Amino acid sequence: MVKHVLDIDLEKCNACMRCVFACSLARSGVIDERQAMITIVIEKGVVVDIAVCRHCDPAPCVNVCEFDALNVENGRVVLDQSKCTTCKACISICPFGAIRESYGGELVKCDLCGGDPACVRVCPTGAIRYMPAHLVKMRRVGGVVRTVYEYLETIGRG
Amino acid sequence: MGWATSMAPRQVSAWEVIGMTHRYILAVDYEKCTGCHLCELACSIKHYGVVNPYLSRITIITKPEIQASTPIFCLQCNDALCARACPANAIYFDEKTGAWLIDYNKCIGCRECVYACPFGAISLTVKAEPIKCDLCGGDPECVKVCPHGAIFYGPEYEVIRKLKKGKSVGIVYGILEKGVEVPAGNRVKEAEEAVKTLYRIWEERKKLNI
Amino acid sequence: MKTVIIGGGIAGLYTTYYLVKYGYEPSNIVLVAAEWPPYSKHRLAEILREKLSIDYAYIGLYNMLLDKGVKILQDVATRLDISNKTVVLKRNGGITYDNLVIATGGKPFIPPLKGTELKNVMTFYDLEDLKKLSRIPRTARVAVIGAGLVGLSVATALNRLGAQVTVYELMDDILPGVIDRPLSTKLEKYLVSKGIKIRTRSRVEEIKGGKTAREIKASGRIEPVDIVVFATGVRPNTELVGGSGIEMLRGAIKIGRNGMTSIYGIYATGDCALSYDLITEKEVYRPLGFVAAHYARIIARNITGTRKETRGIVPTIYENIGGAHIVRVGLSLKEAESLGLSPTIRCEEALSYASCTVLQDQAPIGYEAIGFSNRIKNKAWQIYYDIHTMFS
Ligand SMILES: Cc1cc2nc3c(=O)[nH]c(=O)nc-3n(C[C@H](O)[C@H](O)[C@H](O)COP(=O)(O)OP(=O)(O)OC[C@H]3O[C@@H](n4cnc5c(N)ncnc54)[C@H](O)[C@@H]3O)c2cc1C
Ligand code: SF4
Ligand code: SF4
Ligand code: SF4
Ligand code: SF4
Repeated sequence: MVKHVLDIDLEKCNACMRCVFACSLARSGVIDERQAMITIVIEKGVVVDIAVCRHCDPAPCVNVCEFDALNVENGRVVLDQSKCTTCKACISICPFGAIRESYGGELVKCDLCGGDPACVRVCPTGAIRYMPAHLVKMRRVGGVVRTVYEYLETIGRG
Repeated sequence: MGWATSMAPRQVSAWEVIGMTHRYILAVDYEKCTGCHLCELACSIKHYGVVNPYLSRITIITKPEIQASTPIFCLQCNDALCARACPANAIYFDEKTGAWLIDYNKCIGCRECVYACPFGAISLTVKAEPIKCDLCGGDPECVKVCPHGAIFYGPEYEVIRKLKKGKSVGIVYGILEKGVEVPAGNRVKEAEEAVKTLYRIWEERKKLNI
Repeated sequence: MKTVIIGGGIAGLYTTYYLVKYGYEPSNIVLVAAEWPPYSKHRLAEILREKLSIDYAYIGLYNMLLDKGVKILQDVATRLDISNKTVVLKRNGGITYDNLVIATGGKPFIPPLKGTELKNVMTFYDLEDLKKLSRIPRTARVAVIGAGLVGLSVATALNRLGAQVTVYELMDDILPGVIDRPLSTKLEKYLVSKGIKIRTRSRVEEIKGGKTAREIKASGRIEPVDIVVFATGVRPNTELVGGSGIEMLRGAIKIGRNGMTSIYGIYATGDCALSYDLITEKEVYRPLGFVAAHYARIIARNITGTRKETRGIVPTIYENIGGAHIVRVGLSLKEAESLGLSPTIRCEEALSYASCTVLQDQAPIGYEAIGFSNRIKNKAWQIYYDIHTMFS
């Protein structure tokens, strides 16, 4: 099975917050930053990260949850609200700050919208894309290749 | 990306640590590469026993408009950004070969290294497992298979000399080749030899029964 | 085989859950709970701060257990008769067991001072406390005693609601034992900037007033007050066990690596029991939710016939204190010292983020961090993994 991942390109994000609002709307029916599972992290006016679950394998959060509330289903790490007691062990261990506390101690964590991510549908710049894992590299090398071609063009091979 | 990169303590150059006077490096002469993708195949056969460019740790990007190909491969940086970014501390420097390797017992498959690498040298398999060049344990298969001698492996000073020579040769080739339709005879021969090498690796892999 | 579980807190609830999950016949489980439905204490501060309904505190899992046919008795266990393998209940008489799990939890500790019996002096421990605190006047002057995780969460929640909050702490720094300097100093500065008064190195001596508390005397200084909240820690609630012959230490039930007490077939977990620290392998009293659940799982494994032991626990703590993220994994400097180690600490700082690694003989044994951005990205997993590979 090909694993699909949320691929993030920080350079393209212009902090329009559409993914944040779409996520909250899709998941809880209201537009509220605190209920969104994706966070745009801005420090000194610069987008430094888009904090969203990477669906790790093996996932640190699943490893520390003693309450059996985090489990892997179809390659996605999903949270079962009915078993979570908000002990917040998973928040402490997640390297990306991808799990956050929402109202009343309910946790919010991305479950990839069951395979059709709302954040991807609304992102106007293509900063978040949902794609098969093995294609992620192609997007990453784009920039490198551009630089090399520019160089080659200057030395007259083009 | 974020603080992980900026916060990590500065690492001493990996080569300083092992006290080597000259490092071994893998380098590519961009101008010699014709985009034949044989190195990709050799890499994937060597590591997985199958022919699949997605499982290759070296990737060739070809831009037909300007007849240029660029190999994307791991430079085994002195102060590797992937290792700095890895939240699981899974990327370590192998002193024997001079390669940065991924410890799959520790790796959590988070893709942070993929994003951290400025060259895009880390790939993901279909299971989202990161793979990167391990220098084939000190005997790189891509070097052996390249019919145009575009990939070098050796002590740094030697490789640099070759690269310098290669560059001038490449420019000369570039001028000469304009208007030449059939590739030069020795190139065809080199390519045939490369295919033979590929078959040889393939046979070797079969013996290993992967 | 019949298993009786005493206590419907998260320790009791999750032992029941794991028993069912591991294939124990649900109709053979009796859960004796004084409070029902079960709720999570971890959510109380958040509910207080956001003025939410207390329904948010309940743990949805109990419906599933009821559906499976687990028997729930809303009753109080008053006595253990170990020779007859019987638990005596207040209303339902005696019930016999083959396996017994004691999960009676804890009770808030209030230091023996003058004036703690006055009206308006309370703790922050259960749903009743939450109800009381959510009714206090908006601009009340509140004294929170104890700057631990509970004290600071309730202080920041009340501060957000408009109360004038003063926190009294006996130790030199806030969050003693959870994080160390310089992180605690940073947090202190942050809380002061939010308008919370912090009095460290201040011993509360007396609470004055007629019927209700009016003044608080701490380290010789008297300040007016409307509400006093004690957050001075938790003690095991083990009156039930006293005199039964089960081995105890400083009021908490001693358990083995498989969760069993000194008497065969009787297990204990949660705030009523001790647990083990993985790094030092010592017995510690850690009244934390995930500790309760860790042993709940081990106990359920042993009752269902798979022998299982645990070497101990590496604490993984996170708390959002009024917008500051606090992370602690493994041991803090002070906790390590109190467990007999001689650790060192190494700290790093970045924009809106600071962290420290606690080391023993160059090997990491703990990590703590404080962040003020809208998420916390950290190295906790790395340290957690290293500790686990090194010590188990
Ligand atoms: C404000 C607050 C915040 C917290 N935050 C966190 C956090 O973020 N993370 C974390 O890991 N931990 C946290 N904790 C600690 C955590 O809540 C406790 O460790 C956990 O609740 C312990 O569960 P327990 O089941 O052992 O005990 P309890 O929750 O105390 O449950 C015991 C139950 O047994 C019942 N009982 C007692 N005696 C009898 C009897 N004789 N018969 C029948 N029933 C009886 C009691 O009524 C009670 O319902 C927090 C605690 C507080 C107070
Ligand atoms: S929540 Fe964090 S640790 Fe868990 S899978 Fe997502 S990114 Fe990984
Ligand atoms: S907060 Fe919930 S999901 Fe996270 S570790 Fe605790 S119980 Fe599990
Ligand atoms: S995939 Fe869905 S749940 Fe995950 S961040 Fe995007 S919108 Fe939210
Ligand atoms: S994918 Fe693996 S190797 Fe890469 S950063 Fe994540 S944990 Fe480290």
